[in-house]
Amino acid sequence: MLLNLYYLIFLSVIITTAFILIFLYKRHLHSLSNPAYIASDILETINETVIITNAMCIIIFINQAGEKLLKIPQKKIVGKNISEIFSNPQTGITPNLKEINIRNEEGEIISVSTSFNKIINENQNFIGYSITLEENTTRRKYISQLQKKVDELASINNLLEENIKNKEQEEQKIEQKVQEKTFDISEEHTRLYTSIKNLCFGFIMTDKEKNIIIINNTAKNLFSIPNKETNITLDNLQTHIQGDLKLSKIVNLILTNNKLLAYNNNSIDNKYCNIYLSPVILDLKTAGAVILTEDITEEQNTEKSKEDFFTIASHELRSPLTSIRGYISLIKQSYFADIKNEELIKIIIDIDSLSVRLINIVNDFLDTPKLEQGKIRVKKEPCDLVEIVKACIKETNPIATSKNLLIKFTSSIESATALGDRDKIRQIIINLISNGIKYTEQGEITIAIEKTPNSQYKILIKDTGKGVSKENIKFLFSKFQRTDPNKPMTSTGLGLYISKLLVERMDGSISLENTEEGKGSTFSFTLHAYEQSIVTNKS
Amino acid sequence: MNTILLVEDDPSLIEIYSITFAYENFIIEVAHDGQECLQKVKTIMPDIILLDLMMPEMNGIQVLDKLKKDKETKDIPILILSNISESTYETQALELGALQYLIKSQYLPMDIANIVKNTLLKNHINPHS
Repeated sequence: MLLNLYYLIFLSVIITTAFILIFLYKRHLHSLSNPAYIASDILETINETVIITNAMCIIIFINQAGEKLLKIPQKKIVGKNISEIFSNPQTGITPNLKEINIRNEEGEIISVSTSFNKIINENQNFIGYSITLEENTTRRKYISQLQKKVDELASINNLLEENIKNKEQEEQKIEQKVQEKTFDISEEHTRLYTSIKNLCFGFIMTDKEKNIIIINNTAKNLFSIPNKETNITLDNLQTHIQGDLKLSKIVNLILTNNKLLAYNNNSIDNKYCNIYLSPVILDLKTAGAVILTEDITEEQNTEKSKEDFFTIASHELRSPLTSIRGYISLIKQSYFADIKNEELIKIIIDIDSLSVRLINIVNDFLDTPKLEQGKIRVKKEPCDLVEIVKACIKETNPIATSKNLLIKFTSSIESATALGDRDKIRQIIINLISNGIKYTEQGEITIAIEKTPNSQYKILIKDTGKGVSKENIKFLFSKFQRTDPNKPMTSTGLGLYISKLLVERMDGSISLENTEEGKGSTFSFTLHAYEQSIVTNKS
Repeated sequence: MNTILLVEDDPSLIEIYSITFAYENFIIEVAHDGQECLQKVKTIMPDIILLDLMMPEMNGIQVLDKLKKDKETKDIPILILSNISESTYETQALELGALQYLIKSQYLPMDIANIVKNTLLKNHINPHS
């Protein structure tokens, strides 16, 4: 009994152990560490069709992709010969990829790419085939997409190559242009540099820090700096300038204000020059300054000589004439009563009028150039025109009387205050009256004053002389012109020209009002009427 | 009687103006150049000075400048009597304080005498007092 019990216990242990082992083995079979267990799962997930056959070409496995492609359930296909699947089954199956046509369950012909691989076990025995099928439509689609991409890439590549080529050509062109421009600039630079070096103007260029970057020989000569000298500064140049001009200061002005500046008549080492400054502007910014110097020493010396000549000539010619006229005036004033000889009296009167004429000629010749250059002072102050006209009539009356001409003031106006220079107004009126007397043989000279609507006074001098011919009117107020060129020369031909210059200096105008040959002429000139308020405002 | 100091180097003009001014009852003193003028002016203290510009030693502008800078002489009226018609001289003389700039050749001696009288009146100096 006991033996039986032991036997039973032993048997139960054996059975329990066998179950445990079977359980562990099953668990091992279904674990991830068993490749065979996960292989089928992997095959199921592949998109391509996978068929496994045994050595007899009987299908033992087909994955879901295969079922889908062949449209046959797995159960129906397993156990069939591979030749039943392929309409044109391959013999002598190679592992190479081939394109073949197969027929599915619904009779459709499907083009597929196949790959046949022999399955060899660990003992090197052939145990079956693994066949993969890939539908060509999908493949072609991918290939076509791939080809398209390849084509796109190729065209992009071509485009890139073309661009690179164009770029290279462009670069070559640019390089050539740069070379040409560099040459041009270099040539231009040489030409400019040579021009600047040999310029008759002094040329100095500074940068914005006021350092001299170019100075030509003319400028060096002006500032008495040897041609070989380099490293010249504005301070060096300043030591040669006499007077208040400060180079550094005016260059500062140029650099900050960007305006052209000119300084005339500067004295540099006993020479005279005009200095012109200009900013150098690059990209709308001031990059420096250019100083141009114009040597005017020669002009200054010539001008000085001319001025000296006129000053000396004025003095030396007028002084003896003043004395002659003065002496005659003394004779007439103090000794005329004592002279009984009529002829002597006439001679003295003639000498007097000749001396006056000579003084007038000298005045005309000496004053005309100075008047033209504005070097004669012409005042603008209130002057009573009536008083001046009356004084002029008194002064010219003896000459008029000697020709039996009447000279009179015809306006009833008692006073007419104009703005001008009393002496110059007198000179103009005397000149116009003298002209009238000169060209009138009988009749009268009349002087009138009118006020014009535009606050001016017009002084009219009318004669009953021979008038001015049409061809002479045009040049009447020009230099060295006479009212009647056919008349023997008794004047300089400057009288009307000087009168015109003087009237214009007093902001007036002179004209021939009217003329008629054989009947006479009327000359007139205008001057601004003096108005208290205007002058007060101005002052 | 008023005293005129005539600063002039031309003997003829000195003679002419001297006769004319004497005729018009002026006392006339003559300086032949600028230096002499500056020496005489303080002893004479004239009522008016007629000053030429072109003179030896010191020109009229320099004399005028000195006279106007001197406290004792700055108030004496001065008329420039010259034959130079350059505006630069005229402007300079007037700026320095000359009352008038007269071109000799444009005036008879009597005219100058009348201008002197008018100037004295304007400066509140009674002519011939």
